[in-house]
Amino acid sequence: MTEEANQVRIAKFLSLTLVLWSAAGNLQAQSVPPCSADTTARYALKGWVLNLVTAPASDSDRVATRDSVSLPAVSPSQVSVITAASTCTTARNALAPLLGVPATSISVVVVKVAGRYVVQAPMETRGEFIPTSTFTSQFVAVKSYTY
Amino acid sequence: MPLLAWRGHALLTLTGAAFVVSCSNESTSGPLGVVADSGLQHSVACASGSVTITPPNTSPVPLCDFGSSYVLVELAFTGVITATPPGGQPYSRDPRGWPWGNGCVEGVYAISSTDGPWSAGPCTQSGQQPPPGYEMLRGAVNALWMGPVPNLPENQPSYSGDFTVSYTRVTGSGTAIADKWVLQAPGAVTFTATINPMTVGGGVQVPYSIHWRWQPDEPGGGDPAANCGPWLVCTTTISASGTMYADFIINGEATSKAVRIAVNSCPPTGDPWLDNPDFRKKLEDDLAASTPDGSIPDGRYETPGSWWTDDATGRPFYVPIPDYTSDNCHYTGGWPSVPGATPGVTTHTHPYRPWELIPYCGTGQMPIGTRYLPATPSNPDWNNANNHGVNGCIIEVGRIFCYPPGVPSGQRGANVTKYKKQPDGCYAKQP
Repeated sequence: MTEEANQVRIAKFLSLTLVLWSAAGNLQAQSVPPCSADTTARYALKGWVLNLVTAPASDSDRVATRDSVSLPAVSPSQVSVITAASTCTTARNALAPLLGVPATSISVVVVKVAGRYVVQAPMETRGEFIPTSTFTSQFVAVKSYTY
Repeated sequence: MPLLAWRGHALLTLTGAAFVVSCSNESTSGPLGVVADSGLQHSVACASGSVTITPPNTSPVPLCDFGSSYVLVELAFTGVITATPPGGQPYSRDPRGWPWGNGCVEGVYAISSTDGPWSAGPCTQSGQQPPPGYEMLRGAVNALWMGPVPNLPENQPSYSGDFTVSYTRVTGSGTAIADKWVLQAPGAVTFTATINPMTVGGGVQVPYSIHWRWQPDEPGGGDPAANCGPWLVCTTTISASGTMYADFIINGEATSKAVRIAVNSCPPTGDPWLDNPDFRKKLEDDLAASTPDGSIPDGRYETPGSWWTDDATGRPFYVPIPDYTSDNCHYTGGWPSVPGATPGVTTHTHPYRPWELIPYCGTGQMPIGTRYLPATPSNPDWNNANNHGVNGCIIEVGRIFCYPPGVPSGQRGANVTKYKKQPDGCYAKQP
């Protein structure tokens, strides 16, 4: 085998390697963790939910908002941020069709409120807003709203 | 006896002294424009300029028309003329009464106006730059070379060089401020006007007059300006929103400054910005400009703005934020730079009714059934307040809500203050 033939084989090998590496990179870019690592978004959403679900009956405005987003009145201990990948995966599978994006392209913040979930994908903004939805415990969407 | 006998060449430096002589009342048109004949509001066409005169030509050179009222004009004469008298011939007194010589240049030039009095200004020694000379002039003014009058025709000297007469009409500006800008109830306000400069040339008073004039927002009621005399300070009672104008005539030029006084006719909310009716009105104007009744998304636009406080006077004022890329769900306007002022509030609109359906944000489709969540600043809204260190206020249909900077993300929901619009148009703080 001539040296020229060897160089051709090496070049082909390198090209194939490059193509495979590139493809793998693309696959990786299209799949993101199901749970968002955005702690600011987590705190913000949880704080907003807490403010609503703990509203006293005398605060008609907050109560009305709570009702409008279909959340129950509960104690603070019943509000939590979900970081389990399995729940986040279910949540983003439910949210993604509403947003019109592939589920694997979004990471979500999930706040559990008794038998409800409030879900948003912080990176999926629409203008200044983050579309946010309230789901049942079976992840059936009941309300969507700007946030 | 001659005060100065010239032998050979003599060097003259022409100075700021001026003769003002009478001439006919002719043109009302100066080189810079038309001058009205009478009335306090006439405009003064002359601003500044100069003419150059070359002896021995003694023809008047049009300088300017300073109008029908006297105005203060700064005059300066520069130039060097070399006079060469016939050899051996001394000069004696100028027959018009002034000596010729001794470093002074009386009789060498003149400024003529309609009916100005003769006046001899200071003269200086040869070679010295004179200070500015100030004269009250009016009407058409010419400059001319008069020349020293020799005793005998045969003593006529020859000249070389020229001189330039420069004129600058003294200009001033007026300002007016108040000791209060927003009243929560009818009360006394002191308005103070200033003229800058008050004097020129080390004590020459700049002529001015002032007239206070009140323009109410709504017709009717008394006239607070009726209590104001033609003075720089006026204290009077203001009972409803309006604008006090200080109408100046400063050295013949009319100018006016406005002082806006807002009187809050609504119950106070405790927030100094919300208790400024102009602040509320501007927010409502911005909301109207955002067309909350328009189609979504193309018919609605968020409208940003900002409110500032003048550091020197405490006056609150609005500064628009031009934004040509906003849509129904965002704006991208930058933050203005306002020297001498402190930012107070960043404002914008959410052109929606509470819980209104929003199918699109710009070109982005929203989840089906998405509704506008009322009285909730978005993350960019909080960040904007944080970035500028100011409160944010947003108006939506029927409500204004405000939020401070620096709130931890987990406590944002509890730090929004809401003001609901009442049937009487006022805004009431919600518990």
